[in-house]
Amino acid sequence: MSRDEFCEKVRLYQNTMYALAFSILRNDADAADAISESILKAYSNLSQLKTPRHFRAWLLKIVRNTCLEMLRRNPQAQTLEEQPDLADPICHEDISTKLVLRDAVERLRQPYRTVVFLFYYENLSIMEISQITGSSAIAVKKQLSRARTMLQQSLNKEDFF
Amino acid sequence: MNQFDKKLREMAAKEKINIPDSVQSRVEATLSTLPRTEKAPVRRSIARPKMAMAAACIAFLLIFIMPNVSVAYAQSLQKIPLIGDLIRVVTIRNYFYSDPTHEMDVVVPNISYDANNSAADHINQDVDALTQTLVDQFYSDMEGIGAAGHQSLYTDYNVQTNTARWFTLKLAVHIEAGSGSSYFKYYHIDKESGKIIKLGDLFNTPDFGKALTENIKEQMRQRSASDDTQVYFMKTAGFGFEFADVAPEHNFYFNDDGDLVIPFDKYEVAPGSMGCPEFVIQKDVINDILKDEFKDIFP
Repeated sequence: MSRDEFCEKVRLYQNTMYALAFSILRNDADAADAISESILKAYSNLSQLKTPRHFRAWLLKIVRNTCLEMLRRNPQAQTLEEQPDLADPICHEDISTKLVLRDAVERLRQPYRTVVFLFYYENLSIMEISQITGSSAIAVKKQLSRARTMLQQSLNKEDFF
Repeated sequence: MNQFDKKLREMAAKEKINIPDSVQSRVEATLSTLPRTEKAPVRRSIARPKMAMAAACIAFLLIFIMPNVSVAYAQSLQKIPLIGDLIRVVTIRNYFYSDPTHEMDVVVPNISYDANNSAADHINQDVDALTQTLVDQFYSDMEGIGAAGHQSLYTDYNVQTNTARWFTLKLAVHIEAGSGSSYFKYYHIDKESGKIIKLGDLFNTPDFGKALTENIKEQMRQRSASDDTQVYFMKTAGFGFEFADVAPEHNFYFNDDGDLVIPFDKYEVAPGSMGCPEFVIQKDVINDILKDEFKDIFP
């Protein structure tokens, strides 16, 4: 894969990279750092990608691992992550529509937040999510199931349905 | 897919996540720093197109012409793996149910193989029957417990092995009702004989179970001795019982090194906290009791 092809593919998947990084790190500045670091890692390890059609899953796995490394380097962020009450939904000023679902999703704990972002917002398959997160397909299905239950309770509470 | 799931998808589509400008500019800035590593110019040999053309002609002759003019050649072609013995696995059905207390996601795989071979049909029928039983049981339990309790059922499959000689399909089942239990079922086809192979078929003696069991128990003892958290149902570990000999129909598969692996279901040989333990049986342990035709299936 040439440099130009690599850049083209990164641009193609940048929304998904951002959704994944944001679901883990929960702020744009850290997400930008993680994505930038992931791009450099991916480019320098491009020879390790055996099957070009798995590029998206491979790239997203690098993004996820980089985000988790950043969380490990910053224990304070992890502590906040483990306390759902402190993890208030983020306000997105640049989006004018009412983000009912996204607010509910951002209140979810991990790993539910990430699988919901990847499954519902980015339309990734269970198998792809399983490759990215390193969980089995059955584990991903269970996480999605629990996330659905939590979302249903949360959205019903807001009288959305 | 139920109404709630559809609604979530619709809402997610409306709330599509776009990368903010600040993050996108970081992406572009990072991309601009990537070094340009030009590929070495490819030296094209003048002879290469001719060689490719010749190879294509020979392949066409061997695959399309010869089988139609020679019965013996056509029969011999069927014995060549990858041409005569191509196996494909696809999902043919997906049972999905979801409400606040019950969740089911069951996939049913289907193997397509040589039309003259019944091995795949037998496996497909077995998988159909098993998944149908699970689905029926799920609905029956759902009626029985109503909203009073939670239950979930998930299945998944993957092709564990698919070489020129050997095919293995792994079916995974996970059931939760109060506590969770997982079990697996492995199906094997020996492509050379076209037959379904069970564990007992691999060996030349009915006593193979004792040899495997002894080895597995020794591995359990070693694991427990080196790690306190490793607990197995062993009399020496204080349990009043331990598992009997490995049965001729017990699950097995071959790992990437070609070694035999004996997996156990949750709770079968250890407390639930141990999950589904697996034991690798080295080739030299079973070499003398393996049938000759199975000694070199993974060279």
